[in-house]
Amino acid sequence: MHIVVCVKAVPANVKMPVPKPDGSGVLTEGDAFMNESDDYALEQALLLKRSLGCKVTALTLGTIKSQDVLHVSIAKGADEAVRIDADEFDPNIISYMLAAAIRTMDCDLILTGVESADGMASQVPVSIAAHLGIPYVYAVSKTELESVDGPMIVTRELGGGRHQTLEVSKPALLCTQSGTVPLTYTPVVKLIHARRRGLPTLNAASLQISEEDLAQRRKTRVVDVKPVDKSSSTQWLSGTPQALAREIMNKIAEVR
Amino acid sequence: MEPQVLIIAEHDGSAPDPTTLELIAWGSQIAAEKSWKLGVMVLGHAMGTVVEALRNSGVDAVYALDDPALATFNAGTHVAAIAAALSKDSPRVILLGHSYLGIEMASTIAVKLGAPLWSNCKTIKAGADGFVVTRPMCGGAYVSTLEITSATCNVFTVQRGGLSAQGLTSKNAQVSTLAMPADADAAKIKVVGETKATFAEDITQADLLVSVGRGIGQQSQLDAFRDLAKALGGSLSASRPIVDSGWLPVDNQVGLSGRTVRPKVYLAFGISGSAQHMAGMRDSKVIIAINQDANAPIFQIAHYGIVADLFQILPALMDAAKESAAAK
Repeated sequence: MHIVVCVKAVPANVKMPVPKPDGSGVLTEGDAFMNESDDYALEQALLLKRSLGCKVTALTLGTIKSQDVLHVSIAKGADEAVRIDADEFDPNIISYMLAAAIRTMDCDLILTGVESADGMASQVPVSIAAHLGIPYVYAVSKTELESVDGPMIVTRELGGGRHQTLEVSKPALLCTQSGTVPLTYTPVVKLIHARRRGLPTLNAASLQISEEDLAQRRKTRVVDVKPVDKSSSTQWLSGTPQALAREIMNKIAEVR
Repeated sequence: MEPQVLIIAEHDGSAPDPTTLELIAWGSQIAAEKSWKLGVMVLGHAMGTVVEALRNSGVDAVYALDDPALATFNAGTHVAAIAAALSKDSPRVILLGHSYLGIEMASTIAVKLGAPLWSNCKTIKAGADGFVVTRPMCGGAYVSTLEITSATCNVFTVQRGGLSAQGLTSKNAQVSTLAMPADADAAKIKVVGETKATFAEDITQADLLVSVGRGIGQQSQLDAFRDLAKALGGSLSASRPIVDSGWLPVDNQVGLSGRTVRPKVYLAFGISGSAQHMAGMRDSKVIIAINQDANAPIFQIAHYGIVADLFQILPALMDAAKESAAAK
């Protein structure tokens, strides 16, 4: 069984992101780390690898700056790691390219997170499944697979504390909710070894996606990025801790 | 097709979800701007009261698909039914909530119709050649504005809380019944079971919640907040990271995946305020947020904001709570 895990490098501690001059994305400074819920997807894949002996491939789309999440994936236990060399911002295009790459990989299961910390679209995973025409489940909290050929039983969140249990046929795509499996520690030695490994890359041309095709799909421009508006109705309180405590008590007393 | 703006409704079997009513408000704006008609499509089984409510919700047309196969949510079945209804003639705009169900359906509807999807929109406006949307970024601390060139059909998912659904007047919409397509049975996924929520502690009944997030730092701090909740006569709740870390059970989780709460007082300590969290507490009567980061999104909806070190406020508030209890 072959599991592909889609991981994304996301910037940490973002300070003042700005739109790119041509509107094709957003510039952020600082190092990129593995997106939180993707980390859980990778751990879930590695759990299945340990119990069933599957092959695990980590896949990302990004510039060379995003390569380290693949090295981390290898250090954690992924067998292969592939990067689609592209600098794309629009989830419509990213999912299209990832689906094209996965189509060449002959895999049985695709695991992803539920949302990226930077883009927050929750769109790429289900769109990949839609492009591939395979079943998918969002917000998976538990994945049970006793044998490679056995039925896959998946528990997912429906919101409001409700859950649904599903039997899903493979190949399928599951979006792993964060907090669902224990995260393992990445040994530094393994990371050092992994970083020495050269990783294969794909690109639009090697995926037989033409420039015209991509150009036709480009339909958006980022025109502005700014910190969230403070609510004009938020009343800001300040003072010593004691004065603030008294004010909080007064506000509580007003409504109770 | 006419209507050119179509909303995919969510409901609980007896009434439309509040998100759907907000979508109708967004859809009404777009329809008014473009002189388009507004419709809503609702799928389910035995949902007469939902259809009636939607008929009077301000839309021009209601499309109802009632079938036993739609009684429980299965994205494959639902999307197949929606796509079949729209395959010959798509609307210009399809709006879904940015919810569990909306996220599961929107991408597939978009791919099946060859339409781009713009998800998790905070606001959406129709312009001359397309749309302008705002979206959260970077944990919700930033908002990006995107100009979108209109495609033939455009799909959007919209966050709750951006627009009031009040003031929509009934247009006494006509109800059309849709047929279930023959091939809509999603054999690739079988729903084996569905559990209703069971909670050991019911935080929805508390009239005051002391709610903690990642900002409290360490699990060992939790007891101090629990004590504060007790001293204030309320309960302790938390955002998702605290529950994911196993510090509190899901019973105490506020947000889309946990509980929706409406206490008189919601005291948020170290909660930055993800959209999922805020969807679960935004209707609290008074929200008091304490956070070190002045850019935390929770301050968008807080009535009172304090930018400070939690651990300076906490002991002072504990003292004040004890004093106040003693004075009663």
